[in-house]
Amino acid sequence: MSTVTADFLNNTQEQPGVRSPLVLGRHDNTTVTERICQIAESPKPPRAWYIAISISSSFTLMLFGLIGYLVTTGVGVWGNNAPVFWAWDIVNFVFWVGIGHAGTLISAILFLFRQHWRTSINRFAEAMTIFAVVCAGIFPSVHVGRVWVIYWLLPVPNQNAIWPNFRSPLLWDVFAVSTYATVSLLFWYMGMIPDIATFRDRATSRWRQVVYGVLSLGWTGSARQWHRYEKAYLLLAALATPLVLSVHTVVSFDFAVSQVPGWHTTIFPPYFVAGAVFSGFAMVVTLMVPARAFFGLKELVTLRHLENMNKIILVTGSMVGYAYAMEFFTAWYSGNRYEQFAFINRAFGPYAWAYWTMVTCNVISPQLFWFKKVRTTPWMMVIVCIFVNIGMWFERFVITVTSLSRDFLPSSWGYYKPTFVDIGMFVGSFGLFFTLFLLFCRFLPIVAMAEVKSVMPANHANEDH
Amino acid sequence: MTATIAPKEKHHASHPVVDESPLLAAVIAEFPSAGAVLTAAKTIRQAGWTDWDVHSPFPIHGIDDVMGIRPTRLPWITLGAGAMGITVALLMQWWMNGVDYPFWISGKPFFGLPAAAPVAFELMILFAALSTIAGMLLLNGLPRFSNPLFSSEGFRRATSDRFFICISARDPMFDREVALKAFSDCHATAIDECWAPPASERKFPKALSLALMVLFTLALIPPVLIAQKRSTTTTEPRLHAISDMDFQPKFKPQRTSTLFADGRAMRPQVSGTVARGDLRADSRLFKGLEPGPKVHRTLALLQTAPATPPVARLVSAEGGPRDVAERLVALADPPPADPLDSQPWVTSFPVPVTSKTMKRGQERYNIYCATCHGLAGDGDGLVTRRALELEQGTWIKPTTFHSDNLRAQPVGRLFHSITNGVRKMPSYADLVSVEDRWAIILYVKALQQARHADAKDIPSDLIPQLRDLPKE
Ligand code: HEC
Repeated sequence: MSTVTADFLNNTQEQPGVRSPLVLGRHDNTTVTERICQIAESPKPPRAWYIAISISSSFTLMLFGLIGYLVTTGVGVWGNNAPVFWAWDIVNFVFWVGIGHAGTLISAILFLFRQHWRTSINRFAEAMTIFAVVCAGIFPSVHVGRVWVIYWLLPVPNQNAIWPNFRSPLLWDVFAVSTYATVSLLFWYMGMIPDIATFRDRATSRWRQVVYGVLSLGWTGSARQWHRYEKAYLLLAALATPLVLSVHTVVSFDFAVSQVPGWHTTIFPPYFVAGAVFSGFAMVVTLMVPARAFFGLKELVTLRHLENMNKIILVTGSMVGYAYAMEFFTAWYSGNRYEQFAFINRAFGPYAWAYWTMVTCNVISPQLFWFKKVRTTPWMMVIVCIFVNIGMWFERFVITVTSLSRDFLPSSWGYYKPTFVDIGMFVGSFGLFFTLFLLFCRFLPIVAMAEVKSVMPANHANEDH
Repeated sequence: MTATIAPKEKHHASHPVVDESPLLAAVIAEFPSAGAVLTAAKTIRQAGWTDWDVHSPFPIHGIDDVMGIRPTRLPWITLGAGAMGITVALLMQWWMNGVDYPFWISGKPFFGLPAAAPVAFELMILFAALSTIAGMLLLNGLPRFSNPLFSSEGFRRATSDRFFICISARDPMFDREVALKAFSDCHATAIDECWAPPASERKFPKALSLALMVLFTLALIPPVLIAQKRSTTTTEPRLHAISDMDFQPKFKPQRTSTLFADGRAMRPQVSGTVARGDLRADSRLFKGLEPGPKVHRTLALLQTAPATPPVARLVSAEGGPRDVAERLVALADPPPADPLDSQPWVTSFPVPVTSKTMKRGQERYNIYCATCHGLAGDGDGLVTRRALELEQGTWIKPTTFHSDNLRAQPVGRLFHSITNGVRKMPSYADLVSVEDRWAIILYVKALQQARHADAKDIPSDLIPQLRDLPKE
């Protein structure tokens, strides 16, 4: 490796027989700790952070204002109306839940497959999961209309002496998403305990000592603690893996178990899961590229990490494209007139513009990742990934809205148009997402220090002593 | 960084200690790398120490074997909790949807494994994950906020970049000097002592426990109130935190209102308007009467005619059929100058008379009228027969359609009878549409005519078929 920075930071070249290093630069335990802790410890965050958070928090305020308006007025403030009773609320829900899946995939599935490169990005991706699930949860919660009786969704005794209907996929979804949120949150938190302990032990002010002290639960990093911790981590990864697959499967059941043409297909579960991973990785890359530049993490989150993620995007993007084609084939092969109509209507009906936006963004744009140049150039990959995210939002829009707007009864066909509340809440959910993210970057360890240290070559060479 | 921060210069380490003085809890040694601490750990274990541990910023590969840490029970906890999650989920769904509140939905069984699987799966994961984390923390003795190890300034780097071995004072062979010696033999880069605060300081703060008790008591009030409400009955409407649609501001029939000058909440029809579906200008079709203003008034009066009270009395009368018959005679006593006889009834059908109408009439007649009037109109329908069999005092045999009176009645009057009811027979206007009523009357007319027809009236090509009819 030459000393030129560009080359030095490029670990994407395959050298036969040699494992590419996961951490670049002359890093040891001390410098890794320093590099990551300084982000949260510097007395004042950079000016850009202030600008960013003031923008995102004003969008968040707008979101909560609109939620207040909706709750006090009713869901009629949205554009949803007969026959399109599910629109942006459900689209946004599925969009955000899907984004969350990349975090769990990186932290759990890649862990089980012993993909050590995950260590420098998993914390980041897990945080993204949590915040995405928070954003996702808002939409179905307020779309029930009377939010104050939302506990009717749960099997708790209520004054009507009625229990929820366990034969409905919507209830399965309540269980799936709330389990997912709980487990992801705990998994994320548990993963952070050792790093928060690091923050606690480096704390110089009293409040940091107390807050991080409480959050780290008295962790001392003893070998016995580590032993159980690692076992728990493995078990959680093994639990989270089927969980993440089940969540989007159940989300797809919301559609697939119904009779609506265009929804009632068995391809939905795998197709939804692939789409979720696809959009989630695109989101991680979109956020990671600026963050690593901004926080000086280029040696920890290397180009190789980004390239690996882009490869996953390429694979899942191709799966999604295959699913689109397969849906058409199934519709034709089924011989079912309604199913066939639903798909012809998707591609050539009043929402054709949405359909072709989706195809362009989801099927064509990720194919650019066949070129190594695109895969390893940060600005290029960010552009592709933003397209993927747009495309994945449109995918959910196309599925939800086109199918509902024209189903069995032509007399009740309609054309859905969003209102300013729909648009404002969607934009506002991005505000919330980024606000949480910026707070996370400022106050919590954004890279799993303990895990990164455990994959550093220096900490392994010593074993031979 | 050797033993420099021993607090308060009180070194009663290995001796019995007075309550008020800090207690030596452990001695710790610092090492620069994972390799170094691994080597040292081997030595410490060989020296026979039992209550000791290694602290490192990340899990050191191979340390378990060196220290002799036995595999944790955690997986069993996970397994048990997962199994419990499935059981709880299945029992819950079976009991809630199958037993306590069963209701049909899309023809699905109240409880079935396929539909119960997703929730069972999610609860398995949830239970397993929660108890894995809780189990890990509890087995690790966490949360533990007061730890003598934290009294050492140097130990803070255990979570960043230094590696420590700590020998606890609880080790049966613990002796300060011996432990320190053992560490320096291992080439520790620094040695320190960790002190536990005196017992008096370790007590739970009184104010805090008081506050917690008060909070706990306050927290009990809502559930107690709820339990009380749920277990008692009251005639008052239920308490709803948010009343939603319990109380809807609206005017009820026959109430007063200050909104209108006449003080009535119910509004009379605005003059000159017709309510939707109420436009019945075609008198022939809707009333069976030839048009004319006088007629309408008379009929309107008839609607409230005194025909009803005697019938009401009849219905409530007790006693056998004879009794009723007597009353009927009594009713008929003042010779009836029936106002209906003098109305301008239509005599021709206001609807097209086709075989299609006839078929429709036959069908409707068999559905709506035959039960009482009999299939041929003799007043011997199944309901009538049964009622007479039971000697139902209140039952009146329907008039036969073949009496001279009824044969002579114009079609308009027959229409009036089914539209508004006649004496004991109720109105069929709600059940049978206007067109169908006319169709039925067409069929009744056909029935009447059939009784008085002879072979001439039958198309010649149908006569052979008649012979094939079974003879009664
Ligand atoms: C519930 C049994 C019942 C049904 C059903 C019923 N009727 Fe009657 N109907 C009666 C009885 C009873 C009388 C005799 C009423 C009386 O004399 O008080 C009667 C009387 C009549 C009369 C004689 C009116 C008169 O001027 O004397 C006509 C015509 C008539 N029904 C037609 C019909 C037609 C057409 C239908 C089918 C739409 C029908 N009824 C259905 C019980 C019934």
